[in-house]
Amino acid sequence: MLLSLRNDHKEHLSLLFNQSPQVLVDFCKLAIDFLQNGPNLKLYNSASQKLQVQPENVQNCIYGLVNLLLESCKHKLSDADFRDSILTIGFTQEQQVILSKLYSSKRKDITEILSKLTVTEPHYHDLNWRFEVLVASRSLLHQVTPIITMDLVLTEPPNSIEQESTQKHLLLQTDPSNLLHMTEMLEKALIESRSRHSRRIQHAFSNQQL
Amino acid sequence: MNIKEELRNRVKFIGNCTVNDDIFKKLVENGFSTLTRKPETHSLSTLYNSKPDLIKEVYAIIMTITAEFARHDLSKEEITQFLVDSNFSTNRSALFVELYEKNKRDLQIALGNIGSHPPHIVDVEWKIDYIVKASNLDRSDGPIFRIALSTSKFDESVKGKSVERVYFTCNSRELQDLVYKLKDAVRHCQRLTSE
Repeated sequence: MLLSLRNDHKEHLSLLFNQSPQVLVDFCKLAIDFLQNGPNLKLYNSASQKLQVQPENVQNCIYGLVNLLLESCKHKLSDADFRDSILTIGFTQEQQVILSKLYSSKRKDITEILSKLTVTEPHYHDLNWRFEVLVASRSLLHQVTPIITMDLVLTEPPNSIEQESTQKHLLLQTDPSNLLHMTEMLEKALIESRSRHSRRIQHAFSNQQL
Repeated sequence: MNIKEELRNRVKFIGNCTVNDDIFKKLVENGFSTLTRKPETHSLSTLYNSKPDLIKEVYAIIMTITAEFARHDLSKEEITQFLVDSNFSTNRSALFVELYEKNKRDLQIALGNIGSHPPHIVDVEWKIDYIVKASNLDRSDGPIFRIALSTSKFDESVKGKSVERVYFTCNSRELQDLVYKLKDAVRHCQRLTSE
């Protein structure tokens, strides 16, 4: 698939069309720096002085490069697709080689970050259990009640991008018959996910991607 | 059994009080119903006639000793012995013991449910999802299992048990891990019961 960019996005990138490979490499470095440390206006200013253009243009160009990478990763462009897209935008063959290198080196990291940005809910992390027998309580002195106490560890999504996701411990308990029921139900889910019906749907979706 | 002298004296007091046998029977039946969290069998207003203070005292003592007996898991014989020692007529103690035997199980379940414990898992629900596309990434992903554990817990605001759901998701590998661990626990329970 070919990436189609918005017109203003293309315009921002057009600054690079007539630059030497060395300049493009420097811009790529700036883009990588942006990905790792965020925008650095000071660097953009000095670059704009060297190229004798407005600092704003350089800044937009860096943002455009980063956005190009993000869009490419988002649509999971293959190397060939990326190459074709770059050439269509207006870059030269030589520049395309540099940009392709940039894409293939950063692709994995960016995809990983993007996948973390999607809607996330508490996720299973671990389960610890212990078997207990309750022998007495204040209201019932002699009893033998089997209990399975569980510590369910869930990974909670972070509140903001900067924060790491946190782990939450949930203390739960159950009795043997409910434990058996629960185990059987979950196993059923697992078996269902391997059924022909589920596999066919999974297959259909992964084919659609190609 | 460790029953306080004060309670013992109060039991002795109702042992030979002037409440008639019919009202006594109704009070005992009501006491058992209340303690096992069922609606009262007899309307209290029909029981209060001439001696409300006496009825109230008898009712309170019946409830107290019933709970105490069940709490200590006393046998029929032990209770009969205790009641006879407290001046109960054979009639009344037989009546009490009969009802006690009938309700003992429910009574002890009710007593066993009192107390604090972590949320108790009573059911589990699941569904299988496939992600076709997300706003940030074109990716198909799945299967993703969305699991809800229904847990019952004492809720202060409603003064009773309420069901609360715990939601989480996992992928195939993680669900396999979870099932494996639960099966391990089930095996452990089964081994214990077979021994």
